[in-house]
Parts: sequence; C-alpha cells; structure tokens
Amino acid sequence: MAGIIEEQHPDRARLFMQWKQMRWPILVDSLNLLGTSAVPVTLAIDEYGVIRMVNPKPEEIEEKFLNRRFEKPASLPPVKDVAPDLNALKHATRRGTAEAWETYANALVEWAGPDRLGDAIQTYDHALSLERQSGPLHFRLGVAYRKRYDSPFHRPEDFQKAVDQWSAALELDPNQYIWRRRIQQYGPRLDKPYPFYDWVTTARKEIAARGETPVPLSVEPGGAEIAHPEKVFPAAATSVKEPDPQGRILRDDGQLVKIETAVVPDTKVAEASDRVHVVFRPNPALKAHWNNEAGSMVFWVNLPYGWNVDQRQLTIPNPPQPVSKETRQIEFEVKGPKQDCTGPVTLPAYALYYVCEDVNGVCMYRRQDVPITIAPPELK
Amino acid sequence: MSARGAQGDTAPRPDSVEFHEGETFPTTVFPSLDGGRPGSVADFRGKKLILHIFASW
Repeated sequence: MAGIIEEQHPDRARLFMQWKQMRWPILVDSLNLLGTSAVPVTLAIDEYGVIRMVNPKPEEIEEKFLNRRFEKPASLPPVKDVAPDLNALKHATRRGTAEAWETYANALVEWAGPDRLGDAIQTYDHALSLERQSGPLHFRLGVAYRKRYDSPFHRPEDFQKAVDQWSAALELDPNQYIWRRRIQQYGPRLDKPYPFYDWVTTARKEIAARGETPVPLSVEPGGAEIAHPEKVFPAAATSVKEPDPQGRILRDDGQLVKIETAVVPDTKVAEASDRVHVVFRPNPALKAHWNNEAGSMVFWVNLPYGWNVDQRQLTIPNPPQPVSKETRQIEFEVKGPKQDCTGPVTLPAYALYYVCEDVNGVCMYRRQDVPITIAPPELK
Repeated sequence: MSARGAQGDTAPRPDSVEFHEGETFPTTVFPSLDGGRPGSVADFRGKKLILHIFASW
C-alpha cells in the first residue's frame, strides 16, 4: 500500500497518518503534477507499474488483482529514482519552450529550498508569458506563492497572488476539484463543501492520549480551514457601536505594524461571499511590540450600501504576558452585490491597537486604516 | 483516502479521467512525506501495489 497526497501543507497529512496509525509510504504532489482532478482515487497497480483497476470494489481486489497473473509489457518507461538535476533543467530552458520553463520551475519548488521560491515564481511567470492559457501553470504558480508566503522569505502580497493564480486556473478548468479545493480551504463558509482541517484538534488529543507526541505542523490551520459550511450568510448585528467614528485616534501609517490583507472569493457564485484575511506584524526594525496590559486589539469594518459582514467588530484577545510581538491574524466574511459593480469596491476598515516602539520605548494607542478591495470576478 | 472519503465528497467521483486500466502509471519522482527523499511509484516495481491518491481533508 502507498499513497500520494494532493495538499498545500503536506505535514498535515503526516499528522493524519499518525492519528489513523497508517504507516504506508506517502509521496507528496502539492503541485498536482499527476493532474488528478479529484480525490480520493484508488488504483491497483501490477508489479510492472501498469494500472489494472481504478477505484476497485474491495471485495474484487483479491480475485481480480492479487490472485491474477499479469503479462510483462513489451517495454516499460525507465525508472527515475533521483531528484531532478536543477542545473540540467535550467540549461534546458534555453530551448525556450513553456514546458522547459515549467519543468524547471516545478523542480525549484519541489527540490530547492524556500530561498529559491522567488526564482520558481519568476520561472513560472516566464512559462506563462509563453502559454498564458495553461491552468496547470497558473495553479502551480499559486502553490509557489503560497509556499513563499508560509516561509521566512514571504512577501506581503504572496497570499493574495496565490489566490488570484488559483482562481485563474479554475477559470480555465472549472472541473478541476483539486484546484477548487485549494481555494475553498481558505475561502468563505457559503462555498465550503466541509470543514477541511477541523479534525486536527481531535487528532492531537487522541495521539497524545496514546502517549505519543503529535507531529508538529509548520503552518497551523487558520479559521477558514476549520470553519464549517453555512447555507445562509451569517450577517452581523447592526447595533454594534463603532469605536472611532470620527477618526480621532492618531494614525499608524504602517511603520509600527505592517498589515497585510488577502481576499478569497467564492469559487462558484459571482455574487456570493468573500473571506477576508488580515495579518498584523509588529515591525522588527523599530522593535515594535504589542502592549497587552492596556486593552485588546479591535478591528472595525465599515460597509458600503448593500453590503453585509459577518462581524462588524472583531476583538483579538491578548496573550497573558504583558508584552509580545507575535504575528496576529483575523478573518471575516463579506457579501455584497458584486454583479452590480463596474469596478472594485473598497470596504473602509481599520484596526485599533496598543503598541510600543523599541524596548522600554513609547507605548501608544494607534489606528491604522485598512482598505479592503473586493474586485468583481471579471476584473481579476 | 481523504478524511472525508468515508463521508463522501461533493466533488464528482472520478471514473477517473486521468487514470485508465492498462496504462502505465507515471514514473514522476516526488518528495516523500517522511524526510523529503525522492520517490516514485516505480520504486514498487516487482510488487503489486494499492495506491491511494488522497488528501487529509
């Protein structure tokens, strides 16, 4: 028995295997090189590498596969058992074909370190300049952007670019459910088929109860990734009082806290909801850090006419220590009449937070305006 | 299998469009989940193999 996983974060499958006590060898296909359009798929493959059954019924496997003798094919493709030669693949890009550039980019993502993801992204861009209508290329470029976002080499716009590339891929092949799920795992609840990673908490508890240490995850599943599907948009109550309606709190223009946003759309319905991800990073250059003794961080969303949000005001609770400098993130969902929009819509939102500059430095209460841009699908 | 495999996915069950009886499975080399060493389905030649292509969701 063996497996191939089709996930952005493969270490989550390690945790899953540990939880279920499965010990087969597993290979990782985050780039969807197999071109699988949906999972799960089960294949019975003979000793020569030939597929003999596709999604077999368990009761048929013994008779029709295990107990059958198969003829050796006249020829077999050569076995490759080493990682690709990056230098040779780079040299091969001189052929100037999209395929050569893509093969090199794939190898950079899979076999070079996270410091080469920027090179992979440029290489995919080059391939796309030659073959713009390639769904696989758009998808794999998205994978590379998200991998860089999750790495020490991340750039603020990487998550949004990943989502935009996955959306471009899905536009070209809407029947590709691996690509669709890659967006939906970060997307709004109205678009979720199921909660993607809600099993992680249970898995960790049960593994620990067995006396084992759960496999650590490089990226913790976020709110969207554990959220349950909804059939109706959960609009927020309208009675919440805006914290700074006249904009009187002094502004942080992004020097103390860097804020990143990404909007993940519904994959199916043009006017359905979007999931907004907001990340707050204290600026290490100024030794900025949170002041947790003064009060909680608050995020407020103002809405144009006709728009709804699931939470007007989000409060981020402070950790117990008096100061800290962790990255903080929130998520919320918006829904509005996108089909009536002739251009992007900006939702005026802002964050209020207590932040200090430098060690033993000045601590202050600041507001940072965070415009959230929602683009109608045809403008992406 | 996926964590949802037993519960069913809303995606259409593949027949599949990508894999067919009688075809040789690709010899693509992938990183292994355990340590990142290169591996492929071809490593299992000489043995019959049940291969699950899945996701933990």
